[in-house]
Parts: sequence; structure tokens; C-alpha cells
Amino acid sequence: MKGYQVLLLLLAIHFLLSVGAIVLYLRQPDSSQGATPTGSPEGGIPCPQ
Amino acid sequence: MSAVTIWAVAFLIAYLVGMVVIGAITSRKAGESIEEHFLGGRSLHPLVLAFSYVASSCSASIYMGEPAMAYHIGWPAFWVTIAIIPGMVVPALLLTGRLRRYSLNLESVSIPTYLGKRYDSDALRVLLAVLIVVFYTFPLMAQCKGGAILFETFLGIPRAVALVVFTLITSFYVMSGGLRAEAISDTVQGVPMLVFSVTLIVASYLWVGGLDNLHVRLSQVDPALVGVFDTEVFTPAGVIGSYIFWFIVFVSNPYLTTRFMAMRSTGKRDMGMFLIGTLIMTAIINSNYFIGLVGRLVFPSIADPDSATVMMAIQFLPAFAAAFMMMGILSAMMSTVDGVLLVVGTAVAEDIYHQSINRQASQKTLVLISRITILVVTVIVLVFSLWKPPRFLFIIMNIGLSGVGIAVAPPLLVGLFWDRATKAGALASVVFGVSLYSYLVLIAKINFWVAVGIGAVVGLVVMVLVSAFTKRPSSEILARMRV
Repeated sequence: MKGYQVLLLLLAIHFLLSVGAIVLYLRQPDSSQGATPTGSPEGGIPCPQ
Repeated sequence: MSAVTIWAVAFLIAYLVGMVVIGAITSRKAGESIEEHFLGGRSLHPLVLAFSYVASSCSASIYMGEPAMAYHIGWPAFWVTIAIIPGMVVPALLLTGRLRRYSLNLESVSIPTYLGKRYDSDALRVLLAVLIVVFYTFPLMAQCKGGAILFETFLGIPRAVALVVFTLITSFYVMSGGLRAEAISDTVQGVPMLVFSVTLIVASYLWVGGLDNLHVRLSQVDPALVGVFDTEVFTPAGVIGSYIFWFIVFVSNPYLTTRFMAMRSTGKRDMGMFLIGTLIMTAIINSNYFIGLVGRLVFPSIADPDSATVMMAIQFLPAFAAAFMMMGILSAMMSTVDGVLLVVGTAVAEDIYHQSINRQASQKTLVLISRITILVVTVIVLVFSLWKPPRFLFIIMNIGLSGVGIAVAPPLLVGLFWDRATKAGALASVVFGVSLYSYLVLIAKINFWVAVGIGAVVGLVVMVLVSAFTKRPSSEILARMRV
């Protein structure tokens, strides 16, 4: 492979891995990262008060 | 007066008027409270924040400094584009939810104040605030140089005059509107930035006739231009350092991480919009290296490679489009300058004055102090830029960002995920990490990326080790943080 082909392949892999990480993050059932103190109209899960 | 200049003047006037109007409209709201001024009232739309997050990270460095690096070293410069994608996304995944919630619970509107409360340490807060003010002078000077080159090239006005106009207008609207003005104008600026990137990359691609042609022609100029690594900057060690660099920059630079604190919610819909918006914008805008690669063929011997992108725009595009691209570059610079200035204002008003000198200060007084700070720092940067302009935009920019990153990242990251992280550990990591990094970059002058990697890793190790052997932090603070 030529140098630029290797680099573009790596770029594509990084992009896809990042998409995958975002999808996994958003599919987490756990609310610990998404909780907001007051609850959210956008679907956030309220913290225990 | 050339057609490009006429269009550039027209766009510039429209752009600057638009920015001042945004600043004026939001200024009334920003003066109401410090949270509104610094965090946009934590009510900004996630896509506005995503644009703001990416736009603020995309500066003169991305449009001018980094294509200039590609011009010099060829394809190996593409490592920055590769490493910056996880560098931007991973911190957003790691930090957004926890940082927003913890900072809200500890009633903090800035990173130093949050960390000062998390570790129950006034010394840590003040130390970080001072380091931020000092290190952020570097990126401000870099952007001012970029702005001056742009105005000089497109408008034909003397660089000194361009510098004054660019700096003062930016500081005016940051003083007026705070983060809300910044985030809204970043979004407005984000559109020309995207158009700019795509148009010039496509024009360059069509000119060179495809990637294979580019490969052949660059290898004829110098075979080193088409390698995967080079021998000076992106050696294998330099590549590892660049991953660490981007992670450190995005995980810890307050002018970026305040976006995490300013989210209106961390619900899935908002988070999804923010993260995907961030990823797509990052991938597109960081393809500008291609312009530098083709620029090496179009203009084989440019005296100042930082001008390569501007020259390519004038060469390849109609006057209208070239002038429009000037706005893309200008907006990138201004979004970085305003983000950095806002953090500097916060460091003095909130982290030092409010938290250490006058706890009873009114909200309006704090906003006023922030605005005065911005004005004073602007003048200092202006004087330095006129007196001794930085030689290399890319280097001066990143020296400052890394300095703040190495100071903030270990206490911020470790403190979010490890209850055992202590005040002594945080203070030791800041002192050791920043001292070692400053020595390696400014005195030993080793490879910049490697210096960042060493400074960050040492800071992190010191943070963990010292924490492990010192008194546990107060459980009361940890409980309050997690309410």
C-alpha cells in the first residue's frame, strides 16, 4: 500500500470507531452519565432527589 | 482595487456588523448573571454547542498553520487529522455528563473553581487560574498573527493596522455577550467554515487529478513527502505524542470544556446531537491538510508557508468564493480568540476575585471585572504581537494549549473517576507536570509532541501516586458533588 492509502485507511477506522463509541454511549441503559439534577425534557433521566 | 479585495471588504463589513449585532443583542442577558455570562445560562442547544466546540478548536492553526506543516513535511502531517478525531470525541464521551452534573452540584461556572471545590483547595484554584492566563497568551498571539496575515493578503492593508482591528473587534463582542454570543456566532461562523473546507479541498483535488497523481508528483519533489512517518515531527514517538496531545487539549482546555458544562441537558437526544455534530464537523474541517499538500505543487517555494491556504484560495477560486473563504478562516480565528478570552476573563473574575478576594461580589461586578480583564489582556497581546510577532503560528498556539492541558487534565480526569484523588496529588501533578513540560519545550527543546506526552504522563503518574499516599478527600464534598 502507498503511504497515503495507509493514512486514509487509518482515518476511516478512527472515524468508524468513534461512531461506534458514540452509539454505544447513547445505548447505555445506565443513567449515571446522563442524569440531570432537575430532569430533562430531552429524555435525560432525573437524578434521585 | 482587485475584485477579491472588493468582495473581501464587503464580506468583512457584513461579517463584523453581524458579530457586533449578536454581541449587542446578547449583552443585556449576559449582564444578568455570571452563569449566563460564562455558561450561557446552561441552556444552549446541543448543535449550537457542537458548532461552538469544534469552531473554537479550529483556529488559524487548522486553516493556516497545519496546511503549512503539510506543505513542509507532506503526508505524515495527516497524523494530526487522524489523531484529532478520537481526541475530540473521547473527551466529550468521558466528560460531558459527569462534568456538567458535578460542576452544577458544586456551584461552579469554571474549571479552576470546580477543581478548587472538588479538592477543597484555594491554592489549586488560584494556581490553575494564573497558569491559564499566562499560557493562553500564546494562542491569542498565534491567532492575532493569523488574522493579520489574512487582512494583509486579502485587503492589502498594513499588518499592524489589521492586527489592531482584528483584536479589538473580537474582544468587544466577547466582552458584550459572553458564552451565548460566542456560541451563537460560532454557529453562524460554522457554516462558512464548512463551505470553505469542502470547496477548496474539492478544487485542489480536481487540480491535481486524484490522489495517485498527487502521490507521484509529490514523490518527484521529495520522496519523504509521501511516507507514513517523517524523521522530525511525526516519528513513531511523535505520533504517540500527538494522540496524547489532542486528548490532553480537548479533555482539559477550559475554553473547550466549558461547552460540556453549558449543555442544557445530558439526555440522549441532546447528547446524540452534540456528539454526532462534533464528529462530522471535526472530520470535515480537519481535511484541510490536503490544501497544503497540493499547495506544495502549485507554489513550490513560498516564503511564509502559513500563507499557503490563502494563496491557494486566490489561485483556484473566483474572487467571490476566495473572499468568502477569507471569512471561513477569519471566523475560525475569531472563535478561538473569543473562547480563550472568555476563559481568561473568567479566571480573573471568578476564580481569583470572587473566590479569593470578595465572596460577596455582585454578579454585575464579576461580569464587569471579566470584561475589564478581557480588555486588558487584549491590549497586552496586541502590544506583544506588534513588538515581537511569533515566528511559527502552529508552534506558539500549541505550546499554550498544551501548558494548560497538562496543568488541568490530571486533576480533572482523575478527580471525575476516582474518589481517592487528593488535594496534594492535584497540586503535585500541576507543579511537576507543568515544570517538566516547560523545561522540555522551552529549554531542552525536544520534539514538541514527545514533550507533551512526557509531561502529561508524568503529571498523571504523580497525581495517582501522591493521592495514594496522602489523606483521603472529605467524603462530605464527594457526597455533595454527586447529589
